[in-house]
Amino acid sequence: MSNPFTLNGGTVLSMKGKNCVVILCDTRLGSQYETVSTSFPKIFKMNPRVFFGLAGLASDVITLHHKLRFHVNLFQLKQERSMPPHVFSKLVSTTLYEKRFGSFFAQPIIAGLHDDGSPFISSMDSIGATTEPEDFVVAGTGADYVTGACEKYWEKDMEPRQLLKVADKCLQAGVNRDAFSGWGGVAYLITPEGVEKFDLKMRQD
Amino acid sequence: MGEFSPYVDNGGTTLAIAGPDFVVIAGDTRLSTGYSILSRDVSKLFKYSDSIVMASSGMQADIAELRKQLLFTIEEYRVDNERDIELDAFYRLLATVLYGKRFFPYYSFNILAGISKEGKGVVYSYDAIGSADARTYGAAGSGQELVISILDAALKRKPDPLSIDEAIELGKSALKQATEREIHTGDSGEMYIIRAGRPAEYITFKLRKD
Amino acid sequence: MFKSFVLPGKEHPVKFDEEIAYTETSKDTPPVDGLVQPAPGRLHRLHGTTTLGFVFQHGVLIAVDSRSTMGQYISSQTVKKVIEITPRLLGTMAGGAADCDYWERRLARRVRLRELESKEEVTVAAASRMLANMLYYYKGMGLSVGTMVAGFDASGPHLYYVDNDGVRYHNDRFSVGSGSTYAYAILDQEYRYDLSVEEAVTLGRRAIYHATHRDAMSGGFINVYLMTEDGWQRYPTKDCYVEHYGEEEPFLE
Repeated sequence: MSNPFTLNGGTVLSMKGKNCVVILCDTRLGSQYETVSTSFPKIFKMNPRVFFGLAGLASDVITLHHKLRFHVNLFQLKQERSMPPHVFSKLVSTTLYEKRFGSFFAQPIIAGLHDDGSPFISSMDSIGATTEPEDFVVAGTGADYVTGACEKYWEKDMEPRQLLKVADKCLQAGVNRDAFSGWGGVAYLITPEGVEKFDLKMRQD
Repeated sequence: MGEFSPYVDNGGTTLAIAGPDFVVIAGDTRLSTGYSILSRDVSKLFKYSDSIVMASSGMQADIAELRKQLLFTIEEYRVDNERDIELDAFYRLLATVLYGKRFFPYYSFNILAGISKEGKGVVYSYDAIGSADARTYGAAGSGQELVISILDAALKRKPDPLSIDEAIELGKSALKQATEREIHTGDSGEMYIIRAGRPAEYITFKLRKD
Repeated sequence: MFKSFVLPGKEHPVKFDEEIAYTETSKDTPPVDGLVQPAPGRLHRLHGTTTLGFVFQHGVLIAVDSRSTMGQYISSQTVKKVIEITPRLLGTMAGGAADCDYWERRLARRVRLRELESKEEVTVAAASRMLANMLYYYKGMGLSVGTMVAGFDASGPHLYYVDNDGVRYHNDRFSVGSGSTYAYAILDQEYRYDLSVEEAVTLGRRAIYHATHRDAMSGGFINVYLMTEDGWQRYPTKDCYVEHYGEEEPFLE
């Protein structure tokens, strides 16, 4: 039987810098070894300061995104403020744990900036067990390979441009060893000044 | 059930990096089964001649047997040909010995490093049943995924040529990073530095013991 | 050289092979019953591939990718999937890398010995038959070989397909491997017997490139060989990145 976590493929990565955070993903959508689409981004903007990456079964990626979008919008309407990243992280965690005995086949990562400009990242497993490390988070089929490169190239307090460069290098080094990820990428660089989006040029094989 | 269970994975990570006229090959020295560490000081490297070193990870018993078979065969080669075996012949020999157990493979993942006849550093990376190709760098074993992406990021399409000091540092640090994330790798590292026309130099370095 | 293959005790080699060669990602749990599988997916390498060959007015053209995978892990992007048997015989590689490599080397040895004995060139038909016979002898033992034997002999250019079932077909074009369906789409559309050499090389590269784009198990570099009356010649290796973007892949600082 095919594994729902690896059926569609895909890798997401987020890294902390000095008052900035970057979140990246590849854009492949596959069905086992066949590449079906090369424009399937796995990162979603939940509000101007919170981004959300999901790797795993594509249908669950879409469903979970819609479900969370609903809650985030409702929060905005009720409280008339944006949901902070750590709150969003908790929301994702509880949403996943609701399905403890029949989980979504997806692993999320969250990246955002707090009001004081300090970066926030977190990752969790498919039932919501959260980690909030001070360096980087990775999820998806190429996670092992990306982790290796991040472990070597990540440094504390990187400036935005350098952070983006390092994250791009690490993602590509990892994704190029994983048959199920690649074919293009997207990066969002989040700083107190705003958000910049980048398309990553990647191998197409 | 009493089924036939001939294999145990003893873990460990190995890597090799070739340069224009040198090659370095390294491995950790932990020997484990599952979550238990059996020994902290078992070498994964084996020197066959001044310019040929093999790094093996996988199952220790199969590796020991493989080394014995290779030593036996190269001794025969020495007697028959009145000279030491060269790297290109050793590369084919290892492939053939591994394929000889195609239907009951040695559970070993090997990297061969040496200096070619032209004086260049070469790395051969093998699968368990003897398929191999020449490369400029390679990694194997339980930390392969972590190490290979580090080497890819550092070396793939590197514009300037690699110096021997860079290679040594990269090899050491790649093993250190693997030790951070991979439980079957650690304790201490060892490395052979092989320069063209010089006997291999052996160094050791510390890794995490947890 | 060893005299025979070592077999795993009382186990049936096929059952044993299937269980130890279980190729999923290394994180998956091994099969519960049957043999102990210590680290799944590490024993066999190279299952995805795209290779193709066709006969045209100037000879035979062979084009292959260069990726080798173990499950989803890309273990190499620089594999040589064309095996040079003699100056007028080539073999291609799809399936198990070690299997193809070993049996085609063994074929090369037999062809050379036969030529020394008979002082005559071995025909493509004869060489491919030798390989098919060797593989037929091991049929059902779990070998994984999907190969094309391409050559030029006194009767002209020939292309044979031989695989681990012992099958041997003769035709003007073949494509073998996980990406073969994608390659056939291009190849069948644009193939003609009267292609020029330049057109043929371009077609071979294009078909492989499109296969590498769709098939996750194919990729890396494209190698092209042309077999003519004067023997084979190798065309410059081309990176799939260059084929797509028209420029070299950069080194990321």
